[in-house]
Amino acid sequence: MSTIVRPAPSDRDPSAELRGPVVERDTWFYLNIALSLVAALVVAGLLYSLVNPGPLYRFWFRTFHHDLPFDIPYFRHFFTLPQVWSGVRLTFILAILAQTTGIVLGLLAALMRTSRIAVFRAVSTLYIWVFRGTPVLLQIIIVSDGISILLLSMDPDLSGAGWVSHLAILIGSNAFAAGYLALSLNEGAYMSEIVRAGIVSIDRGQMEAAKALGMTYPLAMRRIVLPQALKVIIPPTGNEFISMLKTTSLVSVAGLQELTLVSEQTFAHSFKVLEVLVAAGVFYLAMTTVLTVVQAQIERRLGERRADVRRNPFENLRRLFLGSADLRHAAPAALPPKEAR
Amino acid sequence: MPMVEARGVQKYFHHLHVLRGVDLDVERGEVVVILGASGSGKTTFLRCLNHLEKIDGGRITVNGHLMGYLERDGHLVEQKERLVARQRAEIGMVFQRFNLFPHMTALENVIEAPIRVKGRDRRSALARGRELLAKVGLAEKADVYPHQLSGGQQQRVAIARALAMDPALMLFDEPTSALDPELVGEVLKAMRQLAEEGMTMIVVTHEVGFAREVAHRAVLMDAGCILEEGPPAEFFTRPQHPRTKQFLSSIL
Ligand SMILES: Nc1ncnc2c1ncn2[C@@H]1O[C@H](COP(=O)(O)OP(=O)(O)O)[C@@H](O)[C@H]1O
Ligand SMILES: [Mg+2]
Repeated sequence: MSTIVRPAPSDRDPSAELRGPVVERDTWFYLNIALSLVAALVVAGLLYSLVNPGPLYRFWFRTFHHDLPFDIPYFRHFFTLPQVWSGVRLTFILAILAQTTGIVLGLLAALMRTSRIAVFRAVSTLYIWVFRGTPVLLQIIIVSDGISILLLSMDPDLSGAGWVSHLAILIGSNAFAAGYLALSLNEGAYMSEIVRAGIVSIDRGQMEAAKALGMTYPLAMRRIVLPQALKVIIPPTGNEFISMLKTTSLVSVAGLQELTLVSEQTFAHSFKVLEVLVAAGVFYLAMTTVLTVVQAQIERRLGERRADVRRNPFENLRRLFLGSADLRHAAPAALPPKEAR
Repeated sequence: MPMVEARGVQKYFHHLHVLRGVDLDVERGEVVVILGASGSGKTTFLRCLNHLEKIDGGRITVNGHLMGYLERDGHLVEQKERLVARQRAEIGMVFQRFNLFPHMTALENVIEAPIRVKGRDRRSALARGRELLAKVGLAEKADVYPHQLSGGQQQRVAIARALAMDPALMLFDEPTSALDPELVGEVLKAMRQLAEEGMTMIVVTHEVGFAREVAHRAVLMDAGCILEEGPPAEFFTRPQHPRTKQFLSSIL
């Protein structure tokens, strides 16, 4: 049998061409529009009642013959209190400092875990074991109270006027320093695992190629492996940062005047528990939202070298808040060249 | 003095005896092709040559220097990492799976080691890098990332990257076996050109055409030993050992 030469596409009958699929406005399309309208109305109504409590208040009073359980004017008043804003500032600063230090500690611990010096490996393993295995609340209390108790009992100058006692009092009375220390140490243990996972995710061939070019291990790590591992490390680090922002509230037990403690003190006076805590929640939500947006932007930058990433900023925000149903369809994966054996 | 002198090289992976006394001399400017069945130790031997793998016996000298070790009272003592790195800088290696740095453009891949390892200034490294990319036919791909290149193009960048260190010796580990068939030719062409310029090359490959036309010597590795060697014309037409005959008939 001989082969057959097929006609080129232009020679074919154009009316016989297969048309591409058409996107139809199906049930899901109309359902989405209807539900979105309802949701927008509800949100607008809630926002309006916050600005102008009148209609909601009258509705509630007529229906239940009670005052509104939520004192909207007080809720709004909370946002004007100076101690609240200074609490917010402390929370934010503490989170940023502790997270940054945690990242550095995590990187150190991860690199120490593969050190040629056995003591370094042991120290790193022990550190991660202890700080991941105990509650962070416990660590905060131990650092803020325990260390100063320990130092006080070690002071050779029994009058309590020696420098050791001074240091003990300084640590014991500085809730910010204690919280910063405890949160950083705790975070470092988690970050080291994230960094390690990032490093081991990089193909071993990268280190080999770098070494074959005459690079030493530290140089290859710094220039070749870590920059690639960053793509794997950054997304969970963003989550850690968001988590850290909320964990700072635990430092209230050490007496730090951060947002949660300030809130507790405020409702202790006014008894407006719900109003104050919801307002504090709004503050936390605002701060974590800022971090979420920053995280999404950084991840977009990291992915930008890949051609398949969308660059449209509106599309990015839409995805951030509404997500996407694209995951329902399998994405064609770009496979690396397969190894022929 | 030969470029490479390997004497009785032994290598174990735990209890697996992978290299069982490999002897190979490679002269300056010589192109040696290593053939052999999968698992016969070809990759391991190449990796021993630039000390990516430690050896358990024998001696390897490259360019007159003991590779990766110092000899003290007849024993090998591991050389300092910095000095091993300096030795490796003299030996280019091309991998089966390219191993380009994906976070760098083609040109950045090529200039990274000359700048960081050899301390070359950026401007001259860039000029040389462009020159080398042009040499492998990729002048216009300098600012493209590896994932935007075909396999054949990636492997040619990898060759340029190795050449940028001005190596005295080039090692190729099955440089075309991860490629689609139609991309093999462009890589072999770059390698052939390199051989014609007098580069000393050790090439693990099953590309018989390349071996016949470019190599000065073909070597068969079998179960961790070199079983037979000779000029390609003889090696491929009149092999002596039955295992060589068997192997050649399996790949031809
Ligand atoms: N890192 C390693 N650990 C244990 N065994 C290995 C390792 N690398 C290679 N081997 C084994 O050594 C033998 C030789 O491998 P290799 O040198 O890759 O062969 P070739 O390249 O000729 O196919 C194989 O049996 C392989 O499984
Ligand atoms: Mg191999």
